[in-house]
Amino acid sequence: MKKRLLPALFFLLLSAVFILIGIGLDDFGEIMSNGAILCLSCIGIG
Amino acid sequence: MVKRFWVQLLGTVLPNSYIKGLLTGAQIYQGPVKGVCAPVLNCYSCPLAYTSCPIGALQHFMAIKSPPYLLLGTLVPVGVTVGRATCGWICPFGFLQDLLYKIKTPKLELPGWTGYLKYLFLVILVLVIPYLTMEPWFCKLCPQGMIEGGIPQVLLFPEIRHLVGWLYSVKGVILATFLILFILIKRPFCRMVCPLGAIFSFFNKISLLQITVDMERCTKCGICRAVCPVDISIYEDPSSLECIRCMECVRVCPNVHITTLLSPTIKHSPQEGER
Repeated sequence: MKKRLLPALFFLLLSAVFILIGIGLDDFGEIMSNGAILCLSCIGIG
Repeated sequence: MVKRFWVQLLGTVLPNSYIKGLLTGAQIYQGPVKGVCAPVLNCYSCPLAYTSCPIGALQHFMAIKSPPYLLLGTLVPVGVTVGRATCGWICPFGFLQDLLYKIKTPKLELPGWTGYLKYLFLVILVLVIPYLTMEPWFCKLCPQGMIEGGIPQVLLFPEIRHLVGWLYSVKGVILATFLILFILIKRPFCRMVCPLGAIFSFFNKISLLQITVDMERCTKCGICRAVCPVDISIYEDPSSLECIRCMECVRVCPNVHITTLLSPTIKHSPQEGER
């Protein structure tokens, strides 16, 4: 199990970096604004 | 062991509990929680949905040609810790498939190669085509979008009914086809189509939550495959890309164990009544 720790830690660290970059680029706002518009493709009418 | 049914029910109800919207006549929730992608296939056009769909969001980032940093930063830790367990425990669409498969009919099996199709759907419909056309083409065909978004929106809001056309019919046919397949085949959408399952599957090999099989005691009796929602024999590959970590095999077989980083091996001896 210990051999899994290193790649897991690497990916978790990478995720933390991604989250920081994402927050810096306002990905949260981008996802929110995308999700807040009624997606016509999802409904099947656009 | 926690009854998976109740966790799945909670996983379906919690992200879809925007009852206030129904009372106030809002088409969808538009608050800050929509900035969060739940790690499950749950349509953000559902009138009840609080969270965004990670596959819908991923297509959006492809369409605007921007790397989905925050999305990756939220999906990767889930995959690294539990692999595909969200598919097995909290995905609403997986839950629907599990429920419909309980209907007693003659059952069919899927050929093994069909498991690779979901990677094609991920690359072509979620990444490449949205990047080239700036349109979320997986959403346009997604049967979960039809169940959670298409049908309720058209029923609740008459002002959009005149927009219904050929695409709506195509989605309807796709949904109807899958609903029939859900009754006949174990989780066909998860195994053949789901791009989110395809993403999480890569983490099954390295995730901290693992399944181990005591091969010295395993008799290959096949009970693990009989109870498995994705029809795999866990002894063949405990880190299988297809495994959704539902732990049904752990429940029924004393030779299959959960392994985590914190508790290296948790041995589970099933009660007589559970076998």
